[in-house]
Amino acid sequence: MTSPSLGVDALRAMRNQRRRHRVADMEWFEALYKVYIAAFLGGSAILFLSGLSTDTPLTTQQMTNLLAHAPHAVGLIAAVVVFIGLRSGANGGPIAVEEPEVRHVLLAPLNHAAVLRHPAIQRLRTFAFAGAIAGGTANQLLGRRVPNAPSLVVFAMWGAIAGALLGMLFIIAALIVHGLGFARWMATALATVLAGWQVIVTFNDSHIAGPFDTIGSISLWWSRHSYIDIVGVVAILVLAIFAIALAGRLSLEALSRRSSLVSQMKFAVTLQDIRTVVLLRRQLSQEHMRVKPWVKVPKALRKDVVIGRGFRSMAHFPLRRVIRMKLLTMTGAAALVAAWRGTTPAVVVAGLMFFIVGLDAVEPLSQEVDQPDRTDALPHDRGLLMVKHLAVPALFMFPFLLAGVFVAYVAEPHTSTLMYSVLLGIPALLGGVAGAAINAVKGAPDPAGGATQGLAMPPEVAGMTTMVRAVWPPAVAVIASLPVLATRHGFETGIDMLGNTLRAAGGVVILLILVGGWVRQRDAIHVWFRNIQKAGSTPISKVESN
Amino acid sequence: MVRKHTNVHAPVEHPALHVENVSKTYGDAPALNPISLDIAKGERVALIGHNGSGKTTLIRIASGLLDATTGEVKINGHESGSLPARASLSFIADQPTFYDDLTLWEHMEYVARLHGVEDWEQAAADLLGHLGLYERADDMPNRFSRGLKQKSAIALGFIRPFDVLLVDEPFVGLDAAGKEALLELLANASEHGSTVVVATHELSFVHTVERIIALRDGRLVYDGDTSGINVDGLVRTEDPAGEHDGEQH
Repeated sequence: MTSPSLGVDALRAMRNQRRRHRVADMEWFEALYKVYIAAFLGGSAILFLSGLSTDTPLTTQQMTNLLAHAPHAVGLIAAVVVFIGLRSGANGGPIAVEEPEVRHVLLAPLNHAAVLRHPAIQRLRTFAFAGAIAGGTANQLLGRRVPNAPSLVVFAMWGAIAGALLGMLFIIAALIVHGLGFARWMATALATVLAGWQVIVTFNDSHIAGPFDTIGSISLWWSRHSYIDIVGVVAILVLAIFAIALAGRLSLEALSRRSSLVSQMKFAVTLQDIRTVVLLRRQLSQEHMRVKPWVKVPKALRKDVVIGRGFRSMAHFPLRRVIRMKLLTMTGAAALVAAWRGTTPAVVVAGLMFFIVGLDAVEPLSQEVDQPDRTDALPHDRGLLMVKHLAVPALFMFPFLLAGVFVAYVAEPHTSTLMYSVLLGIPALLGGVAGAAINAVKGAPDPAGGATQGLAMPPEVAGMTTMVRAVWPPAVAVIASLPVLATRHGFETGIDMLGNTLRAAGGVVILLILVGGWVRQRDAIHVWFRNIQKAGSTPISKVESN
Repeated sequence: MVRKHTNVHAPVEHPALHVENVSKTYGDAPALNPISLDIAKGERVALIGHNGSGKTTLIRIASGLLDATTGEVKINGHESGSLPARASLSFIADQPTFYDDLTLWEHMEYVARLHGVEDWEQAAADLLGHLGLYERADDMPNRFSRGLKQKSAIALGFIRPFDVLLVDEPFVGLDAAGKEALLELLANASEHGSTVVVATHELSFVHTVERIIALRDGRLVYDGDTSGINVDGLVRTEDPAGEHDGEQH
């Protein structure tokens, strides 16, 4: 018979004691500052979203459309969330416990369900809360446009409930797949079927219900009560209980792997270190380079050692990375089509998609930056080496361009689509590569030894500098997607659509050349800038005496 | 060439450690090719091999921290990672990890109590004293040097009851006194009937074992006793089977 302070009871006692330690050690001023920052950022986000949505009341037709299509559309968001959740579960998600917890507690003779139930519930609670905030905010923004609407609180409440269910679905999907030990391909197949079903009912104006329509339908309970939705809610709650019950079956290997990686990834995110996030995400999902290359790189392509190294890197890309890059490119292309059709903010989505594709494509360059000692030991100019590393990723974009053109042609089946999608796709994809290249190269050591330069800056300036450094790379990718707006403008006004497109694409090409120039001359620019700073801070008398 | 294990301790019905056709693959890279072996209760084994040979992978699979791609591992007849297997197996990893908000003494209490040890205080004091850590009991092990962390991990591995002890590279970072203390602890565990498996290149330990298991590139290349062979050469060479005649395993 175990005494009350042993086994699982010891675990509970120690968890309580640690919680008390944390509360006792808490810096209240720092905690309040964090709350202030969170409230400031959250409030800013809500204000920004409020600005995007106008207050113009919806027409009767728009209201009819809203009530008819919102369940499918919100269900589509839920389908995407479940898709990601299922994949996360197959990759060992969604729980990440501390590394010592794995080593000392999960290797102890305790029932794993008793140990892991608590973190699983915590995770579920966090996602439900985040979903509730997002859903409540979105629904109250909608409420402002509904004529003769009930109180905004009612909108927020139903939105929050729908959002909470949506957040829970992510954790439920991941826990079930992980707990039942689904293979990655099985999880992907299931996710594809569910998402495909929801996509079909959403875009085919079908009367058949999608698997996640319930969530969208609940968000409309401010207008009408569809009691069948309660069945959906009950199903989700039952699945939540089932998922929590499976917590004891989570793989110790996955928990062990994630325990250190997730904390590192959180730290990297706080530093806006995208490269580290990419590398850790690959480790989390066990995405390894192929040992055997797809093809042997021909000798002719290896004539230049840097170019050859680039091709060799691409030849080792795992299949899932290539598929992911294709899917992201196709999503980006679909976003460009949406922008062409009038949804201007979709260019941001397109730019970000191409930026993420670029992050994978510039792998040879990133590897070079990851090994600064080796690079600096080479008898070559670093800038030239970096620029050469851009050639292969740029060429590598060609098959992805074809995938994008295909998407555009399916959405807009005209002969002219082929020409315009090539004209718009080339700068957009190269912009993604350019943004990713900036992101990679800015991580290289500063030749002027300015790593600690920011420490002397006032906090406001340092904060702004950090922000600019973080935003600049994806911004370049977004800028490279803007020519679609020029094309649309030409089409809408009926004036020189091709000329508009070429001029805008030409502008992007100039930007790309400037980025290439920056990569080539970055070291020289840094040295020059430091010299200017030094000269500016030299006392005048000393200068005169010299 | 692999020499057959000729230990006097013939495997019984439930060996302390039963490894059957165990392999591990990461993506398309094999870390461990199918391996089968039995380690009897009370046996004292050195697991050797060069870097990347699969020692850590094998030990981690046995401890339940890694899932085998194929095959199965049993601890005293129980599937590795199962509750009874965890109750009888103590694993000391090559990379010690500690909570960053608990002192060493609190770690000892926590681990002991998790394993149902009621009278842990005297045992903890003795262990820490033996390893020269008693004065540091109220410090945070997470801030210790590599060597002190290693000693702390050893103390945590021994504060709990076990039948099977798996240790991965425990001598790395230890000073002479620490090595001596660890050797005494391992000998003591053996004397009390525990099965001890240590992945190491430490000759002072390898000379004391009854059996050596050598891995190379994820393959079992030697499994036999230490009599009549050059142990030093076996530990140092990357091709132990090539230097010593032996039977095919």
